[in-house]
Amino acid sequence: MADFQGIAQQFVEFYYKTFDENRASLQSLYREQSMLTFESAPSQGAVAITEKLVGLPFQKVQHKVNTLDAQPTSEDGGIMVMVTGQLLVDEEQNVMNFCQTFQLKRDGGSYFVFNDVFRLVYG
Amino acid sequence: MAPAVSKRVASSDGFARGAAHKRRSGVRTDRDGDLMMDATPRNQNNKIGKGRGKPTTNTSTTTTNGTAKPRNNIHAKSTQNAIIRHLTSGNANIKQAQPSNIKSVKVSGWKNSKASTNEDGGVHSLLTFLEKKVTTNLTKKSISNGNRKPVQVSLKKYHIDGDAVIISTTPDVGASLCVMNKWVWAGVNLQIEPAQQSNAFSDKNGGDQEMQADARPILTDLISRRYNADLKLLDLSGLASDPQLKANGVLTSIAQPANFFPALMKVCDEQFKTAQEKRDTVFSVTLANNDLRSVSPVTTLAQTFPDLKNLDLSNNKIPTLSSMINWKHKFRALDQLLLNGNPLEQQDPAFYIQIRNWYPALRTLNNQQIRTDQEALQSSHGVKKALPVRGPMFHDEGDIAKNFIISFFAGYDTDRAALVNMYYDTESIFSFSLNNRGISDPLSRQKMEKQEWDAYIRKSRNLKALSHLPARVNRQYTGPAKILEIISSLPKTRHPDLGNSGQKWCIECQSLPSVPDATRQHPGGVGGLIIDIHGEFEELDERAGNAEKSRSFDRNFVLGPGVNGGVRIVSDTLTIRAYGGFAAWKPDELESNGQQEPLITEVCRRTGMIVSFSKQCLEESGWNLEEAIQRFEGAKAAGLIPAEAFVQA
Repeated sequence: MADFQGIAQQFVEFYYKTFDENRASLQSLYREQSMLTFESAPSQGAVAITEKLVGLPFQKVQHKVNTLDAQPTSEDGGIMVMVTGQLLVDEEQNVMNFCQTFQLKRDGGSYFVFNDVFRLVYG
Repeated sequence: MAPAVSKRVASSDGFARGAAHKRRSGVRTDRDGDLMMDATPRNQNNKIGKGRGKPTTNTSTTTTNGTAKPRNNIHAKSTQNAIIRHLTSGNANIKQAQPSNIKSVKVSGWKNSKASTNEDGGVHSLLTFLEKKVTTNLTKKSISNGNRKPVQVSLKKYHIDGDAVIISTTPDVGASLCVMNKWVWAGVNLQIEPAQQSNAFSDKNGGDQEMQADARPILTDLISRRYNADLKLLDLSGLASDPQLKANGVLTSIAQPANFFPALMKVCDEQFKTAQEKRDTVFSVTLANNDLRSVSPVTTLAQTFPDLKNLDLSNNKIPTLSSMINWKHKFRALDQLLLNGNPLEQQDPAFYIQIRNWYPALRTLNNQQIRTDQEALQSSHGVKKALPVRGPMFHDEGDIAKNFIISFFAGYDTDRAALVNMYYDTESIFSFSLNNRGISDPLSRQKMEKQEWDAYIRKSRNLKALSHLPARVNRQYTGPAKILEIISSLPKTRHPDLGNSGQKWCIECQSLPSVPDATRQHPGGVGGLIIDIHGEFEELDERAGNAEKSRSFDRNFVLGPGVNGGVRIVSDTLTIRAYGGFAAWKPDELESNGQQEPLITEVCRRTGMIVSFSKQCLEESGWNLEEAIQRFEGAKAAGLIPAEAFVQA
C-alpha cells in the first residue's frame, strides 16, 4: 500500500498553502463528482467549489494546521484526512479554529478531493 | 411540536434532517457595504476627463492650481470609497474615480483687459467669450459621443467677488471652463479655477485625501480639545458649531468639505503606533448633532476605530438603515449604540432587529438591552465574524446515521467493550490525535494543568508532530482487539444528551458512494455514509465517576453496511481538544431562518416589546404568532412582564 500518511501530509501542506496564496488554483484538486460542504453549504463540482471558495468574504487568509491524521478507507487507495487548526482572516485579531475532513480518491497516479467538509469549531 | 424549531443539530426528535432546506439561498453576507458602491457610474466622470486634451497652452507649465482637474468637490461616495481603499490598500486610483463636480468657477485676471473700459468692466464681454468657447467645446464632445444636437451654454448665474467673477453652473460646464485656464482673452491671461471655500482642506494637489500642511495643526488641535482621557471618549459631536473650526473657516458641516472627516481620521490614526494602543485609548466616539443624513461622510471611522465599544449617532438625520449600510457588519466589538433622535426610529421601527444582526457584540441600543452579557460574549466570540453559519447538513438514509450516533455515544460512555463488539470488525480502523494548541473558550473558567493532556498525548497520532514511521503505524489501531485496548485506556466520558442538549452537537452526514464491502461480494465497494461530529464531553474521574474536565472533540466516521444487516465502522478518526463551547455552529440568530424575522417584527409591533423579549415569547410559543400574542396578553395581565421588556417611548 502506498504511504497514505505521506500522501495525506503532502496534500494538506499543498492545500492550505494554495488556499492562502491563491485559492482559485485549488480547482485542480477537485473533480466533477467532488463535493464541498462549507459551514453546511454544499457545492458540487470543481467549478462550483472554486466559486464558493473564491467567493468567501475575506481577502487574506492564513491557515495553521494543528493536527493532521489520516486513514486508508478503501482498497482503491481512498484516504480519509482529518485536520484541525486555526485560521486568521483579513485584519481580524481573533483566530478561528476549524476542523476539516477530506476524502481523497485516487485517479490514476494522482489524488483528488472527493469529499470535503469544513467547519469552524470554536473561536 | 413546531417544525420551525428544528434548526439545530438535534431537535426534539434528535436530528434536524430538514436543516438543509432552511439554508438561505446564496445570499452572501455583505461585510463590505462599500463594495457595492463600486457601481458608481464611471462614465459620467470620464465624460469630462476625456475632453481635457484640447488646450495645450495651459498644461505642463502651469504650476498653480489652475488645471482642469476637478478638486475639492467630492462626489461623495465613489471618491470616498476610493480613498478608503487607497488608504487601506495603497493602490486605488483616485484619479480615475475622480468625478467632476465643479459647480462654481472663479475667473480672475480679466480686470486689466482691453475690455476693462467697457461700462461693466468687461464682464459681459468676458462671459460671452466663455459661453462661446464652452459651447464649442461641449458641442464637439457631444457630437463625438454620437449626439447630433448642438449644446448651447449660457452663463447666467454669476457674481463679482473683488477681482474675480464667480460663475455658478453645471459640473460639465464648470469642468469645461476650467480647461481654459491661462487662455488669453482681450490681451490678458485668464485664471480660471473651481471656486472653493478657502480653507485648509482646499486641495491643491488633486488627491482628495491629501490635506494641506496647515490642516494638520487644526485637526490635531481638534482631537486634543475633543478627547476626554477619563472617559476614553473622542467627542466629535456638533462639529459645525465648533468655535475653533468656525474661526478657521474649516467646515460648513461634518460632511463639507468631504475630505475633512477622512483627513481627521488619518490624523487620528497617526497618533497610534499599534492597533492595541488605539483600542486602549479610544473606547467611545460621539458623532451626535452633526446633521448626518447618512454615514457616508464619516464612514472612515470604521477603518480607524474598528474596535470601538460605544458609538453615539444620536440627534442626526439618518432616515433609514440603508443610510448606514457602509457600517453594516463593521465595529465587531460595539457594545453600545445610540441612534435616538434620528428619523429612522419612526420610519424603520424594525431597525432594532437589523442593528442587532449587524453588530454581534451589541448589548445596548438606545439605552435598552438587546442582548444578555452571555449572548454578547458568545456571539462576538470571533467565530462568526467572516462566515455565515447555517444549520448542519444532515442527509441520512433511513435513520441509519441517527440510530448509529445515539447508540454509539451511549455505548462509548457506558460500555466500550459492547460498543466495539457491535460496530468494529477486523478491518475497522481507529486513531485519534490531540490538539493541545487550540485556544479554548474564554467563557470557560477551566484551568489548564501541567499534566493536562497526559491521558492522551502518548497515543496521539498527530501526523504533523509525529514523523517516526513505526509510531505512525503503531498508533493506528485495526481490528476490535486493538481498538478496544486503546479506547479502554482513554478516560471515561459523558457526552451531552442528544435530545435535550442538541445544541451542543454539530453533526453532518452525507453518503459516500463507495466503501469497502465487508462481504467481499462487491469489489467496487458499496454505498456508505460519512459522518462528521463536533461536540463536547465531560471527562470523568476514574474512580469517583464525577466530572473532572470538559473537552471538545471532532470525530469522523466512515460507515458501511455490516455483514449481519447493521452498520460497521470502516474508519473512526477522533481529535480531542480543549473545551471550545458550541457557539461556533449556533446558526446566526434570526438571519439563519428567514421565517423568524418577520414573526419577531410582528410581535414587536403588536406588543411593544423589544426584540429579545419578543423572540423569547415566540420561542416559548413554538413560533406560533397567535399563541405568542396570547401568551403575552396573559403574562401582561398577570403583571409578569418587566418594564424593560418594552420599547421605551
